Amino acid sequence: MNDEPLLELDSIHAYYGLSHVLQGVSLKVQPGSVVSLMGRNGVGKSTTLKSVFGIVRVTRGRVVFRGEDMTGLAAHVVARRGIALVPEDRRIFSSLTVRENILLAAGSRAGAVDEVLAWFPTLKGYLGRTGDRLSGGEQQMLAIARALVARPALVLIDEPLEGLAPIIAERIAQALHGLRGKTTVVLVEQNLKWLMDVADYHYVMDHGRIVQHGTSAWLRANPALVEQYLGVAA
Amino acid sequence: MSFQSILNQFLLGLSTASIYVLVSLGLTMIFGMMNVLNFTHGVLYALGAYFGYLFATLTGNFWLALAAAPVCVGLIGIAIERTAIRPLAERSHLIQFLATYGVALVIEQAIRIVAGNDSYPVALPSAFAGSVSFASVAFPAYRVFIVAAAVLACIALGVLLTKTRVGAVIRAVSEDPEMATLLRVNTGAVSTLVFAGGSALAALGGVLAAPIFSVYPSMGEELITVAFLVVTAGGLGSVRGTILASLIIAEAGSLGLLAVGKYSDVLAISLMAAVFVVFPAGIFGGWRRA
Repeated sequence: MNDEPLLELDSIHAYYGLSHVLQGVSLKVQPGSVVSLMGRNGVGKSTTLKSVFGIVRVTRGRVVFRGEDMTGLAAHVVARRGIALVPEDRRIFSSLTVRENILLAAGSRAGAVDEVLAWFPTLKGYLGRTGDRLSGGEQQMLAIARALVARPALVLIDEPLEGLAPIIAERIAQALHGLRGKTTVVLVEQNLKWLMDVADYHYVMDHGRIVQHGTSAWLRANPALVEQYLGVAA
Repeated sequence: MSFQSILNQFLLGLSTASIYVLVSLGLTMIFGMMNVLNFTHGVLYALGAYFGYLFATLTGNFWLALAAAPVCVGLIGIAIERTAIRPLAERSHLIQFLATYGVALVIEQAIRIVAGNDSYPVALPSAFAGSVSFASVAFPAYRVFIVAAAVLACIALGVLLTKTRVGAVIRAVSEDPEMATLLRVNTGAVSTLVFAGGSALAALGGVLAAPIFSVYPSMGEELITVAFLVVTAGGLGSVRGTILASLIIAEAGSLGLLAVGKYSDVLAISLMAAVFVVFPAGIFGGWRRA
């Protein structure tokens, strides 16, 4: 890995109304890595991802991507710089077909649909189907494919396994393994075992701050810490 | 009540519906799809009629007027969107209503200052001065042309929205602007484009309506209420709903003349009320998120 991080959050703060949700989050994501953001519900994991795009306004601190300060830029500008977000609730456009959802994200690039079908062959039979007629698993595959097809340098994925059957989770894990070294990924997910298999490095959040960070081996070696901050056994 | 009189009223209703469709399609794009409560739409229709009258008078060429007036009004629409609407994009519909209603009043007063309060009769284009016969009913050729223009506009808009990338982008922004932004779409630019297109459609309706209804400053006030009724009754964002609701209200007003005479407008509004009782979200529901 390079020493220069692809993404750096430098002590960022954010609010929901009067609620101080992010209280100085700092982390670094190295190019080509798969990084997880862990923590109990409501500690600010999803807000951290949204703050990268400015969907949640960063009131203090800096979001630095490829050495450039992105703080305060419009979300579409951040996306055009090479960051993609797969939101927690997928947000597939229900009135657009699967093909249209893909092409919307891919722009005018030829071969985009074939590329998606190589990652998720299941979607082949649904290209003409509108988003509201897909199952949860199909929607999640499409949401991830829609983010990847833009060929971003960094993908932020929020709760990819929520409500999905184990077999779908396995397919998504395979797709993420396939990206290893090609695209940098930041994952927010509650499934600890799955995360330790998929991610290289982990940041643990609590009360709007990063409280611990380390590799999967380090997490396994610290079950008490996992119990304290995540409430589950490692 | 003869078959001929019923057919005649039906055809009159069809041409009126065509004007409603053109104006309401523009409002469907702006209000139904982009969720902007735009009360300048009526005055943009009037501006279209005035620009059409101006160009037709200056050049003697109706076709040039038909093409140029929507372009001019589309540009005015862009100016309105940038100055009065975009800064209020995150505000409530009440604020949007007050702002756009204020702009509409300013534009209407500007029309009165420049063109006066008089009504201007607009000559029919010579190519459509005659009549066309339908089952022994002689029907003005110009009204047939209006129906054809509306059908063409519907087909063009339908193709644009469902078969092109621009249409997919517009539908995506309409449904979930934040997600569209995350996919690198400049939603502000899309809003401007849609507002310009919607304004141009209103103007097209105004140019086409001018030879039938004449041109006068308050002509937009009368149409804006109908247009909002049509757009909401059809289902926000639904092109086919807009077409169907336009047909219902126009035909109720036209055919209703035969049945209930001067109360036909009451019949038309009552039918719209019935539509809302049966379909609270409009006939075709619409796709925009609440």
